[in-house]
Amino acid sequence: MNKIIEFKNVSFSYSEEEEAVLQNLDLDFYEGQFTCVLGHNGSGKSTMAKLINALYIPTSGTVISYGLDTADEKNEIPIRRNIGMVFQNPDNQIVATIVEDDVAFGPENLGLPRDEIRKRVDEALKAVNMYEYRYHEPHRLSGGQKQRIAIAGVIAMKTNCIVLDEPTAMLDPKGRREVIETLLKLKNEYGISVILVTHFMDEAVKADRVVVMNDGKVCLDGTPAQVFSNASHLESMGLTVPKPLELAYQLQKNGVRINGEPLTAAEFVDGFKNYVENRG
Amino acid sequence: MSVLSVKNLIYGYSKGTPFEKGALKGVSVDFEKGEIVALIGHTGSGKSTLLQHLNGLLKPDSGDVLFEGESIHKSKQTLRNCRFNVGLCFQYPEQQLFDSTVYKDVAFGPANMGLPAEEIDKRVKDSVAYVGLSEDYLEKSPFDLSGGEKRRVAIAGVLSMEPKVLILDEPTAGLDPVGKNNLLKLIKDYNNKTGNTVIFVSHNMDDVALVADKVIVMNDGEIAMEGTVEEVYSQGEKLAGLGLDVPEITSVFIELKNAGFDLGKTEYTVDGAKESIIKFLSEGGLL
Amino acid sequence: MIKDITIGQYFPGKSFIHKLDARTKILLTLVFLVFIFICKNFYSLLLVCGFGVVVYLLSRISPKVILKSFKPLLPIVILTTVLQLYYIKDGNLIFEWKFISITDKGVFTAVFIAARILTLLLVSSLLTYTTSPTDLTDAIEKLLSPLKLLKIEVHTFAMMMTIALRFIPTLVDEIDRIMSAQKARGADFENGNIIKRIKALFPIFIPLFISAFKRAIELADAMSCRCYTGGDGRTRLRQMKFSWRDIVGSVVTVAVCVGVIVLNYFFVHLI
Repeated sequence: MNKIIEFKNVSFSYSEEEEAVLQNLDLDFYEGQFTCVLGHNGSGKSTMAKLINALYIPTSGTVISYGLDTADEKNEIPIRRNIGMVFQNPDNQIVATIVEDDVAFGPENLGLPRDEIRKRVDEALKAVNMYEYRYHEPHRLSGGQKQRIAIAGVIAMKTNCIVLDEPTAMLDPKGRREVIETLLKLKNEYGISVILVTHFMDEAVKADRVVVMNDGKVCLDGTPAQVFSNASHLESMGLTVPKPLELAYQLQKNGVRINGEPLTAAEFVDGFKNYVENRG
Repeated sequence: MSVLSVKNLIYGYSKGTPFEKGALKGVSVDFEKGEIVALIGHTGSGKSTLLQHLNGLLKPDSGDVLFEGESIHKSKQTLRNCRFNVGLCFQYPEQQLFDSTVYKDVAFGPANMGLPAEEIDKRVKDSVAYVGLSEDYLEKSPFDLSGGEKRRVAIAGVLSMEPKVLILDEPTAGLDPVGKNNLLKLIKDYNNKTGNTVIFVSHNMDDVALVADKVIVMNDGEIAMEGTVEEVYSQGEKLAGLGLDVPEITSVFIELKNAGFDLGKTEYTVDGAKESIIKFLSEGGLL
Repeated sequence: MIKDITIGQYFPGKSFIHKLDARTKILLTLVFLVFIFICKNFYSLLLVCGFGVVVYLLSRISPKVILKSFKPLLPIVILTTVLQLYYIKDGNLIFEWKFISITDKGVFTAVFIAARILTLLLVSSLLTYTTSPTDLTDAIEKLLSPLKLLKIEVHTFAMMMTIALRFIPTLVDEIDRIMSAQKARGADFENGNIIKRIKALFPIFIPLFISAFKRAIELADAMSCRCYTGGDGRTRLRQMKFSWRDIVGSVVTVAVCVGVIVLNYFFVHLI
């Protein structure tokens, strides 16, 4: 798999007096993957995200995004053409007073011809299921809709990778579902690499890869099933394990072994059926 | 007598007009002393509108709100009385911090009540202790604190009025799992120690299961379900039908039922589920 | 309450006036405002007011909206009118009581001024009522673009306006929320003397400013992530095009202006 982003021995602190937020971090991201970065507040996950597209520059070490060193100022725009970013607060990233104007903002900055912008804006709005809202005023939309507009703004720039810094933290369950479904669609249908920074464990279940950060370091890295099998380690870091998996562990202690690592209700029921059939 | 009751509340809604977001179409509910009540419903279901009626910030088009049996809109005095006795803490309350020190900010409410200085001092210290912060915090600037700490200071700013009913609109929104669990524990402890009623809004059904005695589900400006956590959660299908998240364990049980395993009552906690499954297996000789 | 403010509000529509190019509307409004002050007698004033009313009728904006926009400025209109009545002493006396004397010329001038102010209000509010904020800023940017030669950052100015318009509703909601939250803590914004009332504003404005700064920082990050580097090399989705309407609108307005000059010249002695 192609490496798209590379953290090499990266440390970062906001100022000289302050303690380092990241310490000697080594971490790679790969093309076409849905990677979920989990960690509690202060684990350094958001800082990591902002280092990817040169919003922050490492205090020491290097970050290479799409072959370009983020520390070099002239790489800033080429990197951001490849990597789009969506932030936590949906209100603070929408620039224009009309939805389609906002989606057009990125392509306009790239200096694309008008017809091309038109085409991209329409495509992007359709990709996030917001096409019928193209003439609406953003402040009248729900949080989930606003985040989808922000995602459309990134798609319209045709970036290869999208980094999202806790995009669902301020949304209600419906908005969260909308955003996660949109991200899965981007990965599956458009082949966009997704890096989702979150503290919601249930969002990690759907990822290809889960990276858990704690105290500015990576402490777990693998498929969701691999990562969540470290239940006690996760709990010690203040993260939870999907409830179906927890239930399976509890049953195992009582001699009932549900096969596979059931992360969702459906997986649990499959495992349970298996168990009953084998016994019966 | 209920500490707070709502009688047939109608607000921002009239029959025959298009449904207005956040309207109330005749809500009646009683809140008893000492209970923790969770209010659930998706955005626009009217739950925030209902909260703002409970301390008289909004005036109903018709219907009434009674605090300790007396209408809060009877006079200016009853309304003022209600403001201080029904403490409402908005969503992201840390966004309303304004004073230079934690002490002064927490003292804002009691000072508005016109209490003597010693009483204010006592209340500030008590409420900061309730939210689990040490006295070292009192002279700090609230703006230098971490997100979770700011939230606690803001909640202390409502607690310091010593309200008999504490209302929290999505108190755990935006917090990580550690911050969330700490805050839920704090709610429970506060309720235990003071015996005051707590009403809180949440989207997270697992959080609700952890602390609430009673659950009220709102939908389209009406109360759709009401009862103990067990009574409401055992109707998982109905919750899902209202477009709400169902506790994860509940969805496991619903799916088990759909797959033909009749485990009886729908469980919502891991422990309950474990007991129920083991009982099922041992009865069927499958253990 | 705070949400009732209608400054710069836009009422979408498909009327002739709505469909005029925003640049045309801004320029014609400016010309028209100048001519409101150029008219010297009742005939030219009648022409100007009549034209204003016709434009209003063409816009198909509800009369309620217009009355609402007049309401806050009514005291000023009444005050100026009364002052004119009181201070103008020449002309024929038509009413006298103690120190108050009103002359026919005073009445004329008062009516004249009231008509002028109301037409001015009507036409300038029509500009914002019929033009979307985006079109308005785009047009201003285009119209001011010659200033670029003087090294004035026209684009930055237009972007600032766009962002301001985008964030007004967000901040209005925020003020409402902060006020409710402080009221829930017993804050009182309605009673007390002026010092007390000003003091009561701190718990609203401090959180508001803190949040506005936070929003600004986050927005700046979001904009630079979307490759924003200023106006150079930027293209636009929205293209402004003049149509036959703009020609018609301009010709009619110019005709009215010529009419004003002619009427001023021929009936110079009437007032």
